[in-house]
Amino acid sequence: MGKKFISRSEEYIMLAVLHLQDEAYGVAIRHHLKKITGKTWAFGAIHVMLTRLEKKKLLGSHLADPTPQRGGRSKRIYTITSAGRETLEQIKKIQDKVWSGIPEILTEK
Amino acid sequence: MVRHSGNPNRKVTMESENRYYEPPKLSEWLLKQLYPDRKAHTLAGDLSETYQVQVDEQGLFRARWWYRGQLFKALPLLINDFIYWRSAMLKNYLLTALRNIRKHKIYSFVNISGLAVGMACCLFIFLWVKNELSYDRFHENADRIHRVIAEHFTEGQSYTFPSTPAPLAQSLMDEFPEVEQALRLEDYFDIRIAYGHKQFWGNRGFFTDPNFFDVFSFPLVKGDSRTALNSIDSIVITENVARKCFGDEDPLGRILILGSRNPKDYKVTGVLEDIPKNSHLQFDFLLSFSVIRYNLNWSCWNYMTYVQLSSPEAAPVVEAKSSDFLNTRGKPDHKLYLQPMTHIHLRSNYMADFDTNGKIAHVYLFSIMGVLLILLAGINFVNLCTARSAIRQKEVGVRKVIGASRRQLIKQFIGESVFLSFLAFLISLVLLKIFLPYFNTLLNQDMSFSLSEGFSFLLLMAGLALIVGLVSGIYPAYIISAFHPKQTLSGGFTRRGTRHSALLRKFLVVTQFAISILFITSSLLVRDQLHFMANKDLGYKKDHLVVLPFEKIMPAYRGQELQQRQESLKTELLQNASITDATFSSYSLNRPCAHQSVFWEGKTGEDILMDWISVDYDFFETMQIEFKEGRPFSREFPTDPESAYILNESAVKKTGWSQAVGREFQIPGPRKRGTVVGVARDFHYKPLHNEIQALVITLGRTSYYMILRIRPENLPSTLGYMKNKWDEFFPGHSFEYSFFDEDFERVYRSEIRMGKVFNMIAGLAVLIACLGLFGLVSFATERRTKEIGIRKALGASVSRIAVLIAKESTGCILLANLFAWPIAWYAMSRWFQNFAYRTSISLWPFILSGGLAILIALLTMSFQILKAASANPVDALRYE
Repeated sequence: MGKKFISRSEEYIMLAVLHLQDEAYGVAIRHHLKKITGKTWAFGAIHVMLTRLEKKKLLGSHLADPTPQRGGRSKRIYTITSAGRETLEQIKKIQDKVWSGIPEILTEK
Repeated sequence: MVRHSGNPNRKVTMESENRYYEPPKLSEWLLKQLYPDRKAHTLAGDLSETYQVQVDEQGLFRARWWYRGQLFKALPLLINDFIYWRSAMLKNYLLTALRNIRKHKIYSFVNISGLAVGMACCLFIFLWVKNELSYDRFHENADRIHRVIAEHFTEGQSYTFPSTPAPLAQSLMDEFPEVEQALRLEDYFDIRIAYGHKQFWGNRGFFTDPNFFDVFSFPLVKGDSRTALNSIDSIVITENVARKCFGDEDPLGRILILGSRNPKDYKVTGVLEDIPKNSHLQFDFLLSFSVIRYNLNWSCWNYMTYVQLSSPEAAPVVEAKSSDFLNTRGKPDHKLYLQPMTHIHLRSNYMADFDTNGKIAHVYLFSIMGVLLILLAGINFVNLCTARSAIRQKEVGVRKVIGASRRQLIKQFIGESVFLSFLAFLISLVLLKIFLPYFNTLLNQDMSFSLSEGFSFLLLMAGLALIVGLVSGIYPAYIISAFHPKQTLSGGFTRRGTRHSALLRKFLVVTQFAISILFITSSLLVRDQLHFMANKDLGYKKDHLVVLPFEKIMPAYRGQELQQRQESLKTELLQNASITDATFSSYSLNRPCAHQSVFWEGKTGEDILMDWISVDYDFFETMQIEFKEGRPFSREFPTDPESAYILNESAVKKTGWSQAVGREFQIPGPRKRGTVVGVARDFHYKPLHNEIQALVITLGRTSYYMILRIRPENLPSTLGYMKNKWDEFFPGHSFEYSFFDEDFERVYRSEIRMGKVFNMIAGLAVLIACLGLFGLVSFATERRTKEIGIRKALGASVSRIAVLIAKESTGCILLANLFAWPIAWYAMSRWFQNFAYRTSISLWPFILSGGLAILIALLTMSFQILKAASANPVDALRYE
């Protein structure tokens, strides 16, 4: 088992980062999450989680060029680290085990 | 791809190429404050990017609220994060601070203890000032209650006093709509209270009107405040008296006997909570006025009148009308003032006022001293911190290289000094707790300090610690954080910073010593004046005089019998060879004497008031007062008791006579017309604050005091003899005596007390200044170890090096003298003006204090200097 447990929301964020690849920055992540989950995510929440994941070394980040829409501020592009990948793989494994057989039961009803 | 449609960026850039909507300013600012620097940037960027879309889609107004909403939603998380990051850094700062304290034990000790002592002193002073200022504020209507002060004009002079005629209160209520309530008080002191077989002496009370409790807010524990004083035979007592007389019994309705000559019964109708110490009215009981003669005379100015106005602003209105009002009552040349009750304790300067009153000047003085002390301690702090900053240059360099911003460094160092000042604050609280009892005795106060007493008070004190920490931390913090890492890490000291701060340190040392010297000089001058007062030629010899008071005995005997017993006691006492003279007198140094208008031969013009005392035969012999002309009272002249007057020189000056003996004189009313038989040299019958006034002395039989002159040898046996004889003539009454010179000193107790406090504070100031100097010198010598080593290696002698180190500080102290002297001179000459008789300000206290400061400073430095100067240069040079 991996040492670092992450929450469901953190998992979503990491998956979003993975999905968006080079474009994984705050606004895009939020947009993606909204599309996937159908819920509006607060920027603060996303950022706190991003920061936390970065601190856990599951995510890395670098700055991209500033744009005028951002008031001259840079985008911070997030990338997934190898530790992050491992964690996601582990989660996937556990997930599969937990869900094994469940869809069948669900559809029975 | 999801990526493309999911990028709102594109939409914005297409629709409004050059538009940029400014997000709400306050929210952006808040965001920056809460979030770690780098991240705030990103978050704000993301938000603002989406904000552009929101503005286009939903309009400016809704977008702004959306932005704020986003921030609001994020707040809990942001704050959580904020605390996490700060606490991580804080832990590091705290650790560094603790390591620094441990590493430099001497500096830390000097630093913290100096500040703690200063703060403790400041706390003491604060407590005292707060106590003084709190007088009478507990009354609900404190700001509307005023005391009536009468001003009387005569021969171009005006006299103000707090006593007024009896009918005034009622008339004020009737005729002035501004006056809501008015009441009278009359002092009734040294009263015996008896209950059953128990009796207690020396109680003090007031006669007053039934509306007493409508005006003053002294709470009743038992009884009804509306009716308690309605009846002429009711008495309201304090809890303390109730406890003494009745123990656990219910006092209400019980009968107390008051007075001893004409004892009267009073029924207890109320019990007061004990009177707070910070009330100018101190009493054990209250009686209703109707008991004593209801005096409707407008000439007997014996009552204090208090009024409660409709509003505090009404006072001038009443004052303006008072002159005409008194005119209609047959009292021209008079005026009334309304003194706010809250001013009575500190701002009264009237004849015959409460002897418990304080002085606002002392409050100012002590406040200034408190501020100076905290300044002194703060300066120490700054001094040592800037001095130490050099040592910490490396730490700063490393922090900067790692990426600490200047702001962070400033925060760190200010935080550290705040931490130290709080440490000192805690120590000062402990000191306060320990020394408060001594302080109370010294100032004759009953102040208490408990943590539970007032949260707000503690908060205020913590605020003080914070301010001291901040103020004394700011300068060092800025100096330290300005170091350039390249220079600090390569080993050299930054020149600009150190030279700058060396100058500042010198300036601060000068300030510190100036304050210390100011205190020393002042305390020496106060001592001078006290010494002067103790040794001033008073016109009589105050040593070896014993005073026996009769006030308590007087009610127990009829007038005639008392006189006989007193007379026999005197005769018996004079049998003893150690008792050389004995006399009776109506006067004592600390009691106000009567003012009387007088008549003399050839008097023209206006009425003149003279002081009047009556004494027994042998008064002048016992006191050893000299005569300018004429003779003292004598038994050989049978007319003396009736018609002989003795004046003092000042009185003769008033009359304008060139020669007084044989002239006609009279105190109209109480005395018959008679002649002046002698003129006594001016003697000080009042404390030295007051000038000697015109004084009339007559022979009288009201003998409150017996004054005896004794030989200094065999004092115990002489006193034993007196006690035996006393018990013989006044059985059942305890023998009380005092020495005249002790009574004399008691009059100056506020000055003596001030002198003591001055000495204490001067001592502390010097201590703090020396702690600072000690730290500085030890630091300076440490920094100059190499220089001293080289000098020694090149052949400098120990003494030359000692001079080298001492020179700098001594120069500072000499300079400090120049600043301190004029201030001390100015301040003390103001204080001296309190005394009609004062010593001249001489030069020696100034020189002495300057010399003392240098001496103490040298002694402080000597250890460090000798250590540095006598060290082996090899050790010094090897340290690299």
